Parts: sequence; C-alpha cells; structure tokens
Amino acid sequence: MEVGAAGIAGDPAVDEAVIEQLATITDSEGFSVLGELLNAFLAATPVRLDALDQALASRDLAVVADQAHALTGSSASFGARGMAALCRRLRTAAEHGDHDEAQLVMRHLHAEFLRVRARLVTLTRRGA
Amino acid sequence: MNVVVVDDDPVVRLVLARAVGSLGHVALPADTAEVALDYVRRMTIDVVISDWLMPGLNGLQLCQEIRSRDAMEYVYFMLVTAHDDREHAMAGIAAGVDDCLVKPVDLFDLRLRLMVAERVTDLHRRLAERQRGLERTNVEVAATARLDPLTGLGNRLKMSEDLEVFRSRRDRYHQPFGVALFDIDHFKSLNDAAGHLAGDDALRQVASVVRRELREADMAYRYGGEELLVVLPAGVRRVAAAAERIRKAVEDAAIAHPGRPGPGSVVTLSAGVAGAEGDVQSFLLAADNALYRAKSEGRNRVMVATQWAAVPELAASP
Repeated sequence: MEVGAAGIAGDPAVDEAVIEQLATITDSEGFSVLGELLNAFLAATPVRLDALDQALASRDLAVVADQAHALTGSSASFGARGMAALCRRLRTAAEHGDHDEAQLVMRHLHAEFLRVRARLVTLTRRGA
Repeated sequence: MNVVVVDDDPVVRLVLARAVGSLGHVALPADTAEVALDYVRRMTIDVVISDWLMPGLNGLQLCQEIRSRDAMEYVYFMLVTAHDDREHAMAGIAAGVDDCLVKPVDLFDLRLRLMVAERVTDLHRRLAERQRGLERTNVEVAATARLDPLTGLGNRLKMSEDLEVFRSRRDRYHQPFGVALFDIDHFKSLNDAAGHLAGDDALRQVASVVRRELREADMAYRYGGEELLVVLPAGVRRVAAAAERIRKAVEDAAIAHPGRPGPGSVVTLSAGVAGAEGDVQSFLLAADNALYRAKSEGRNRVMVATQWAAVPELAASP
C-alpha cells in the first residue's frame, strides 16, 4: 500500500481530539499549558528532522531507525497521525537497510510536517 | 503522589510531566532510567511511569532494578508500550510491572490509572506501617516478658535463658562464670514492721545499688521474693570478690530497716557464691547452700560454696 504525502493529504494533519485533550492540562494556577507543549514540539521536531537528514546522507541507518522511533512517539502525542505513520515506515525501511525507500519516506515526512506545523500554529494563534 | 516520568524524548517527557502535574501530583522528569533510579534511591517515590526503549537501561530493566531493592516502600511501576506491542506488555507485567499504558498516552486513561496507583500504594504503605508496628511491639513484648516489674531486673524467664547462654559459652569456649545468690536479711520483719510497700521499696533500692555495682557483662535477676541472683563471666574468686563489693555497697547505702532492733538499723545482704560447674540446677543449689551457711553464720556476709567458708580477707567485720 502506497502511503505517500498525496495519499494522506486528504486526512487532517492533526487529530484535534488529541489537541483538545492536551488543552485540558493546566499548571498549578489552573492555566492551560497547551501553548508551551505545542511550542516544545514545534521547536524539537525540526532538530529531529535535521538529524534524520544527516543520518540518511551518511547512510547511518541505525541512527535513522532510532530518530524515527523517537519522532513516532512525539508526533503521535500531538495527534499528528500521518507523521507518526510515516515515521514508523521510515524506521522499518531503515531497519531493513532500504536506503532508497528511507529517502522517499523522508521527503514525505518533511512535507507532512509542514502541514502539521501550519495546523498547530493556527491552533496556538487561536489561543487554544 | 511523587511520580517519576521517564522518557528520553524531551517533548513526550514534557507532555507526560505536565499531565501528571495537572492531575495534582508532583512530576519528576527523568531522561534516563539511571536518573529515575537516583530519584527512587534518594526520596519517597510512589509511581514511576517509564518508556520501554531508552538508551542505557530500558524500562523493563529499570523496573527490575527497583524491585530488587531491599526497601519496604512500594513503587508502583507503569510501563509505556507501543499500541501493538503485546509481547513487551506481557514481559513487563511478568517482570513486576504493575500497569501498561499505550503510546501515545491517553490523558483520561492516565488519570484513571493514577487513581488505581494511589489506592495500591496507599495500601502498601499502610501494610508497611502495620508491619513496622508489629515488629516494634514484638520486641517490646519480648523485653517486657523478661523484666521484673518491681526491681527492673531480669525475671526468672530471662535468668533461665541467659544461664543457658552462659553455660553453652562455657562448654564451647571454656569461658568460666559464677553466680552469687543474695538474700535480704530479716526481710520478713521489715515487711511486718513497715508494711509490704516499704518492703517493696527496700527491694527496689537494693536492686538499684546492685545494678550500679555491675559491669556491662554482668547480669542481675530477681530470683525469688527477696532473693537476687548475679551472674558474672569470671572465675569463682572474682565472683566472690564482686559479691563482697555488692554486699558492702548495700550496707553503705544505709537503707533504713525499721524491723530490726536498735536505732540506725540498715538493710544488709547475705550471699552464697558458686562457680558454674556442671548443670544449672546443681550450681544454683550449691549457691543456695552457701547462702544458707551465710545466714546461719550470722548474716551480712558472703560464703563460697566450694570451701563452705566465708571469703576470708573480705569477710564482714562483726
């Protein structure tokens, strides 16, 4: 089954039910910490993607698998299901030593993160 | 509750820690299992929520490390596994994990699981407290059951147990010991003249003088009504010398004896000393016989069983 960027583009980038759940988390004074959480994800993810690009360029597939695994967890925590699926696919490719497939998935992952980021930025501006 | 949140991914860790904090608990974030272990060793931790796959120790190894500690406090362990990872969940529970959460952690689910965790850790805490209480009580009961309430000295039960210990040490390591059996002179007339409360009081004072004269390895017991037994880890000559020292100390303490004729009468002791030869019954009998001799020779003196004689250079002056 082909799960390309085009294939998942029809689905929402972010499952908003997950974001609504995250919005119920408050600090000790009762204020929502959603902004802090979204910003942490938006700041950490490009660093992961850079690490993935570098590992792919140097064909270090063990690092690709580790980084893809970590990104699966964090993207799933923010309801970015498409991203999480691509990360799982990237990890599988890396574990099988399939560098070409890994590079292909990586391109989709970059594109998908742009969609996710756009959605999350909208949500932060909305003050959710 | 104090909840350690272990995940090597800073974003996931932040979300979990904030969620735990939001539910009214203290969240302690740890980026490795080693940091989590450090928390568990240094402070009271109620719950650990740990990812499975981490650099260094993994979640399962962390759980095993925590379970292998010799500590009464129970740590409730929650393992976070991937959605389709039944194998790891099974292995985790088998290795001592209390609960498995599926990634990404559903916050409502987390809330429910933490309520269960609180109930279980509370139960463990109460059990541990009760256990500690029982152990304390056992120690206290054992000590009280071996104490004479009037004099604060050991009672007959304690005496029998200790004499067995002395005897087996003598047999195994050839460590000699001896006994001195004391009896308050004219105790009956003291009771008759001043009442039993005054008699009790005199007995208490004598016991406290005796206790002051003992060294750490020496033991004293209330043997009968007004009889005290002292056991010393020494040869018979040194036991006799110690008995004489005790006899003199009691006389010098000048405890009033209203039952004896003449003004300024004080409480005195007679004593029979025996080296611990043979079994317990026989050397106690020997000491008792020597005590009888001390009484019949005029009281307020120490007699040694083997010679049937007063301790010569230490004998009380008439």
